[in-house]
Amino acid sequence: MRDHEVLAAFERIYRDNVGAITRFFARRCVDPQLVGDLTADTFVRAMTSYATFNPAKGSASSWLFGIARHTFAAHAEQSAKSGELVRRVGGRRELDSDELAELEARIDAERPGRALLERLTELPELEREAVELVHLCGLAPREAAEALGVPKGAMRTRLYRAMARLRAVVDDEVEAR
Amino acid sequence: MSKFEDNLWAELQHEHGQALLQNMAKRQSRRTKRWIGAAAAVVVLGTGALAASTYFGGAPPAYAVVDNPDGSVTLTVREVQAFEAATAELRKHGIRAIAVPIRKDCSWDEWFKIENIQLLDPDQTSAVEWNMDDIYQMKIHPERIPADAQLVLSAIQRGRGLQFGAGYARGEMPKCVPMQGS
Repeated sequence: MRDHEVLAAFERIYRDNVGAITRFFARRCVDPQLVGDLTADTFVRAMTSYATFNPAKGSASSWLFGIARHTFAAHAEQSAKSGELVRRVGGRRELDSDELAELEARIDAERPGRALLERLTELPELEREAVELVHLCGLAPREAAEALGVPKGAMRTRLYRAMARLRAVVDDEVEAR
Repeated sequence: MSKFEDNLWAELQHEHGQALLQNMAKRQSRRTKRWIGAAAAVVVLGTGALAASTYFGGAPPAYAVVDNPDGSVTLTVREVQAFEAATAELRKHGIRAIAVPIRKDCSWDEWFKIENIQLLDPDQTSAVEWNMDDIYQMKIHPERIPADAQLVLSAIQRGRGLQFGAGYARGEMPKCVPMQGS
């Protein structure tokens, strides 16, 4: 593959997934600059490790969501250590006002998704992430299994269990009203 | 595409595009070395076989035979197909050789018709000299093929690669070469 073909292949992956990855972070952070930084960090990591990506082992989406999860986990760990919000990873440019407005709109649009994630806090972490990847990010259960590094066969069971628990939570809430 | 997404792509390409290309080039180099390593292992087993990663660009012919000024010919193999046509092409260039497939279901009786050639460490008497700088290519020295023998070139497509073998046969020619481990 020639240089321009390599770049074109990666650009296709970027363009196909950047929206979903941005929304993934927009459900977790309300600071548009931070959403932009985490999205950028995810793709920087993807670009520098693209040589290890093997399409035979999983889709580009599941690979990228796997990286996004690690990126967010690293950010959360750093935030917890320093006891404050950690902005910046690696000298990224400040977004201009148009970009900030775009990301604010996305953060706003993800409000229902954030609310769902808050409800899911009752669930074990893996089940919560499985529900998010399949029902909010649009990944196939197989892709979600690849992103989470769990056996594909176990993914449907986890999803079924998670949805059953979620229904029970909603039923309890309705009953309590 | 939004402005954020377009600007981010421009930034990524500018700041990290080179790293991506370098890593991909390293991966390609590692893969080639792995193929050569695999070939060495096969040769140790005595098959006289070499493996090479193959080119699937579409346009180049499956094989090409070119005459060299020193009387040798250069055979370039891109894809394993049309063994009879390959044999005819070699003969047209004055090479007493046949091209046959390596097959899992090939009888071991066929194997015993061949005297293998050491491909990775050829000496001045070897009729086949592999070009280690372009592992799709081999130089064939027709004058080194024993007078009473024919050169047998064998090949198989393995995934995205090719595996080659070479040897001499006398009398009845093999129709195929059994695959190692089959």
